[in-house]
Amino acid sequence: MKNVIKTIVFIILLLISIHTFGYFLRPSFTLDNSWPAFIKEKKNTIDVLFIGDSGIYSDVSPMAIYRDTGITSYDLASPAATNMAAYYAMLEAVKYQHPKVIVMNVTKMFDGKETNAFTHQVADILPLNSNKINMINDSNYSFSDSDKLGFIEPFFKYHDNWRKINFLNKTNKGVYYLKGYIFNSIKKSANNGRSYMEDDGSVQSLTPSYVADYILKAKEYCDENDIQLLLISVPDTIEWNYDKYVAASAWAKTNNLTYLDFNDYLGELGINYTNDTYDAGNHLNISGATKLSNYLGEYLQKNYDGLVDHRSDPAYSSWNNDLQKYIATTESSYEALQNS
Amino acid sequence: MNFISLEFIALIFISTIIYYIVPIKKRYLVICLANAFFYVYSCKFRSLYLLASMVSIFFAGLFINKIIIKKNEVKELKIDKEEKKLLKKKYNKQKKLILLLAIIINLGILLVLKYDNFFISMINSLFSSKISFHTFIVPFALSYYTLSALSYIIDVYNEKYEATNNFFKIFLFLSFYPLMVEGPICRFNEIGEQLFEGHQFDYQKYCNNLLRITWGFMKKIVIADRVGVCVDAIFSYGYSGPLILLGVFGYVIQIYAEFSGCMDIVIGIGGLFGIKLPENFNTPFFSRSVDEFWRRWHITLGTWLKDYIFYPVSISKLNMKVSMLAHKIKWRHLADTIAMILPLFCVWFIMGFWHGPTNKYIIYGMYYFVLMLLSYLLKPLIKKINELLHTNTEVFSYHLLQSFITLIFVTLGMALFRVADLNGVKLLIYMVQLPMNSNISILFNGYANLMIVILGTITLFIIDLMKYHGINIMDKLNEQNLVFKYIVYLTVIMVVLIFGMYGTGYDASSFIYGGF
Amino acid sequence: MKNRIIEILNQIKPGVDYNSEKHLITDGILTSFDIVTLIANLTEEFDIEITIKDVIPENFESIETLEKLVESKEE
Repeated sequence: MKNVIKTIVFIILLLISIHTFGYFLRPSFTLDNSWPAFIKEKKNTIDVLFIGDSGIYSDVSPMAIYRDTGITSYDLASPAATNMAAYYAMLEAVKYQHPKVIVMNVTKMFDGKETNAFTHQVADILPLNSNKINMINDSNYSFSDSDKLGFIEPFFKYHDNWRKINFLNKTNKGVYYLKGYIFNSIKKSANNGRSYMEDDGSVQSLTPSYVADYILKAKEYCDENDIQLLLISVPDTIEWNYDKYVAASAWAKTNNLTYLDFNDYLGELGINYTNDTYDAGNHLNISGATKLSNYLGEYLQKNYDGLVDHRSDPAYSSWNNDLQKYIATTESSYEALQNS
Repeated sequence: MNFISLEFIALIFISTIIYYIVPIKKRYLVICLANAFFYVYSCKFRSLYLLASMVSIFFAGLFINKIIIKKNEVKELKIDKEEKKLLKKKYNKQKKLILLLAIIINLGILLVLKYDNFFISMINSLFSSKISFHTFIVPFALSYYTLSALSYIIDVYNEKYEATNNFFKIFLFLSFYPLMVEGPICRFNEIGEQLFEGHQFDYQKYCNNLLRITWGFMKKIVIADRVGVCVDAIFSYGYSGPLILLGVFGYVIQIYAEFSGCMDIVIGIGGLFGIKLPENFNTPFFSRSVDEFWRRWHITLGTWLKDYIFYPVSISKLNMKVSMLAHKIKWRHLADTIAMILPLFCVWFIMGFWHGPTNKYIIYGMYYFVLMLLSYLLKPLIKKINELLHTNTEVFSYHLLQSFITLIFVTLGMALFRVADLNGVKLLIYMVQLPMNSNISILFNGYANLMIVILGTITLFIIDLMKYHGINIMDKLNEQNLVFKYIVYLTVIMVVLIFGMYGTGYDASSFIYGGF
Repeated sequence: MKNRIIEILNQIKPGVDYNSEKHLITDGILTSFDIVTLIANLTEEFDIEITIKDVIPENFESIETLEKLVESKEE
């Protein structure tokens, strides 16, 4: 009996050591800038969730939307995450907030799953529970046993990272007021402008991949839980084109989904690929993101009932404080880009 | 099934835990099942070769036993002396026939599965025929298996012990799964009974063996695999200058850490079942002669060759005749040396050939043959020189010199073992004279890795040094308080888990000696 | 006979007190080389035939066991 207790104590100590080292060995991810603050937000105070990849956290600024409309929203997005990873992140996120609208970026609906490293950037943030286990066992990911071990305990994925071990706090609390948005003030113009959305008369028919099935799964979940699902594709001259626009629109129509392709509204948005992008047309900078967010905020306000203006509600005073910080950080860059 | 895999670690725990749950008399069945599982899982249908071989060994043993009994009964028969002699001769002949048959069957399986291409190429070059090559995938550690199997049947033939009439014992002895990667080569009288009888659970021993297994993993995936990165780079001939020497010495560290690490894992697993397997290493790098080195390195192969090749050849009629003739020479030592030629040649030729049917391995064997013969021949000369110079041969500095010279010869042997083919030797000798074209940091993928290799090697050295001086580190650790023990356990495990080269980015690594 | 064996032993490996040493093999005093040389010399000296069955550690541990071995072979 004594030996049994000794063994159990030892195993617990070992697991604690492994988990602790795993935490410090894991590199910092984009979601480290949003997820820890997100789960600390007061319950059911966020009305809109933006889910997806870099197109979300670069192009959609929840604070810009709040400034214009008073709608509270949050970006939960991870680089290169397809709708597969986004779907599982969404299932976890709705445990903390009950949003009225979930907005998903579908830019990657024609691609295969993201590479393992990018799946890790999502999965490693999620707590180990049945949702995560389902994700790891998802047959579309087809992880090997040792891959799975690395997902269950990230230590086994990152043990070789010992040269870069970082015992300091890996999350950057300073930027939480951006609500998941990642601020970028660089300007790097695109060469081809809006030509990627021109109909050159030879439309190739595209079929959404298995990744798109997860959009349908998300829709199913939203319907069951009284959440509206809005699909968007953010302005992107590199990953998007006219063929995808045609195919995605048709697919959304057959599946009865609300879909907004911003690439088709570039004129209304006022986005030009000279000033508004930081990487030659793949993602938007603060200027482009503000334009897009303003438009999106207005759209949400007009088309969805129950999205309340919280700006004068004293319960949301922290949002107003964050807004001041947001303005202080971004305003000058925004102005500079407008005048360039 | 790879040793460095989740499946294998799971097999270790599951099989040893079930072992102690089952009633003591039935425990051997758990080992049988684990062995069968291991074989079928990793070799599929090819495990049938082994089963066939085991059956042949089992029945050959029984037949030889029967003949021996009959032969011994001859004494009591009431017939005249001449008839008795004839009868005995007849039985001896029968006995020999069965022994030969068993050896042919088992060597046949080995030769067909492992050495087929060698013989095909020999036939092709002799008769300029064009028989095509094909590769059988060798079931695990077939060479180790074959040596164990032969030792049993030869021992029974020599009446060292009686053949068993329990097939389970043969099955257990020849298929014990930890042995199936790279030995050690066991003897039936050492482990046959141990495997069959049930063992009581001993918590302290179980823990000690787990620690030894972890230590083995550390040698393998922290030290050996890490230095292996550098060694592989150098032996692919892309580097020049003194870096070559680094690669050559690195290989010595790699193969020692790896082979002895694997033995720690294997013997540790045996220990989890309460079974004491023979040791394969005994601080080889403190040896003061090449001869002593081979008594401390890959011990079970050395003793196998000694018992089944060296002695039989030495005292064979042919060699005795050679010896008689040689002793007509006045210089007695030369005569003794001449009597050594044939046995040593056989031992080292087989040693080389056993590693693989290539010129490289045969030359590797011949290297040691020449070295052993010369060192035997020159022994009196060195003694004379030392006497003339009044050298004190019983001091630390002299021992150090001896160990260092031994290390140099052993290292050269290992370099020969490592090169892809004999041209590689020429290439390395040429390249070592060129200027250095890279640096250590690049070869090790960063100085941090080099530091780990150095620290690991120093740890290895210290532990071997303690062992050499008769200090048992495990006993010392067991005397300590629980908190300290737990800190040591956790540290060792965490070092393996963090610095081990496993998982993403590393191929499941195999053992160098596992291919034989 | 004892003295003749000791003489042979002294030629093979001098500096050992063969009268009192009881563990020539277990203590590693005689190596396999020594044993083979010993067998060759015993065979010649006493005109006997030593077979592989006799090459077991127990027969080579001390001068007494060696004596017994030679005697059993001389019959």
